[in-house]
Amino acid sequence: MMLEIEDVSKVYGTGCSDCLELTGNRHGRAICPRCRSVVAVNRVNLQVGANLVLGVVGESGSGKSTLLKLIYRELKTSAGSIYFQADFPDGRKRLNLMELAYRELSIIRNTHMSMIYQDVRRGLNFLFSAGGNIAEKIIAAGERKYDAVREQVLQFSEKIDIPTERVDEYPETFSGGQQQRIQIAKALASSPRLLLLDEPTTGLDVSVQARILDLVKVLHREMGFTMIVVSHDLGVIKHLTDLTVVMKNGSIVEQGLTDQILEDPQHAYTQLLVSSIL
Amino acid sequence: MQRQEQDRELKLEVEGLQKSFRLHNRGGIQVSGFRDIAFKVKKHHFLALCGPSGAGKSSILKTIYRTYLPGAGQMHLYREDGDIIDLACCSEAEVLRQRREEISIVTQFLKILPRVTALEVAAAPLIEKGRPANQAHREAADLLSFLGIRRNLFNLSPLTFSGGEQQRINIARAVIAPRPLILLDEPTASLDPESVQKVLFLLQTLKKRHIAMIGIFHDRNIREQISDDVYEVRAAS
Repeated sequence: MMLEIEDVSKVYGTGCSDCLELTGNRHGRAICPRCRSVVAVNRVNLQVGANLVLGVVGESGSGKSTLLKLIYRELKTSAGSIYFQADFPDGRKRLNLMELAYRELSIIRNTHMSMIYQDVRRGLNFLFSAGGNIAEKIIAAGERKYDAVREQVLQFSEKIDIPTERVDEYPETFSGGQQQRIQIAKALASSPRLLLLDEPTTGLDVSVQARILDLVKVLHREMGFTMIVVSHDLGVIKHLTDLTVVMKNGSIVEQGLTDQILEDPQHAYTQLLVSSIL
Repeated sequence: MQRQEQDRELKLEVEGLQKSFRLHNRGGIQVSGFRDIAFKVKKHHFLALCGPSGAGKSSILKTIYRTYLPGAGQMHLYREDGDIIDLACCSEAEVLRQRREEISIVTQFLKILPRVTALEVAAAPLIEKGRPANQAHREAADLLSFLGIRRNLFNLSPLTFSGGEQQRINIARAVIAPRPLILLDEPTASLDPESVQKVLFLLQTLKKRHIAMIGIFHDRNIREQISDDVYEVRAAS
């Protein structure tokens, strides 16, 4: 398995010995009644194979974005391990993301995994040009020759349909949809093995959304990487993913093939979610 | 020895298959889909499922494809490489592999994105198999022409087409690079007689290529023309 999430929990607050037991979907709450800590992610177990696309759905506060942040190690887990399998620069084949030193983590983020944010300002540096943003990632991944970097920047901007003569302009001169496409190019410029997307099209109008999802799909087919998409929009999930995980109150309530989740949902909450599609 | 001989001919063996739906938001009532389903399909054979509307024929196809989770039973798939896999209990990753390599489904309605042209839809399975795009497009164009789709429609989205045209696009997509097992849910329901004959011709050629098929036809006359076996699905009570 490319990614193995083992018994991962994230507790905000002081925490007590009963937090995990007293919260989660079974109890219908994410706040521990004893110590008032918030259990954002509660003993999640998940495995994702190479090149597959996994969707994570659930309402606001279900813990889906927190789970993604734990994988990217923007946050540290309170308990549990997340194993990442790939050919790493130091010769290792499998490592626990939770045990990485900051230096190692930044290398992995420059070479093996990337995150795409809903808010482009978190993914793009607005003080650099569009091309500069893409170049930054290519350089961080190890390319040092100017001509080669420039060549790849132009290739990527063509791929994401940004006119090559505009690559030296700053992100704010582009439209919201274009900015998101530049963020995608930047994230993929290091050819990562794992791409994490947090509500990648939320807030964009539908025509722009469709174009971005199509682009992500084409790039996934061409480049081959594992993808985890967090979205509250079942349309996005249906369009992009092979497998889906449904979360509520920090725990996974159901997981399966995406078409099965949508057409034969087993859990009461998933049935409610599916029956709420417009 | 003879038993082995028989096994080599087998493509899918379904036993004791059962499915019911629990509707949690309707007070947890249980709706029966189908029960005690058992049949075998041989390579190069066409098995027709028949029975009244609501007996669960389409649900059986969806369960084999694992869009529906089976409640009980086995569905042994005899893969082309000799491996045997129980579709009823294998992992999701295994199911995805079977969908890439072994099984495809033709549903009653074309489910595609509105931004893809007819030619691209039909050519996609060939490109997935590694055929160069222009060659795949040429083969797709030939197939669509055979099925009576006018050339000036090739570069439009099939979602703008008539029901019968959509259905032919759907069939083209399934037969252009056929998987060893094809599930067909009323593939000719909205076709004129001439198109029906063309589709049946395509399905006959698939049989000669050792492709196994399970299909639902409401028209008895069409069913008799193509099927080698018939399995009667009784309404679950």
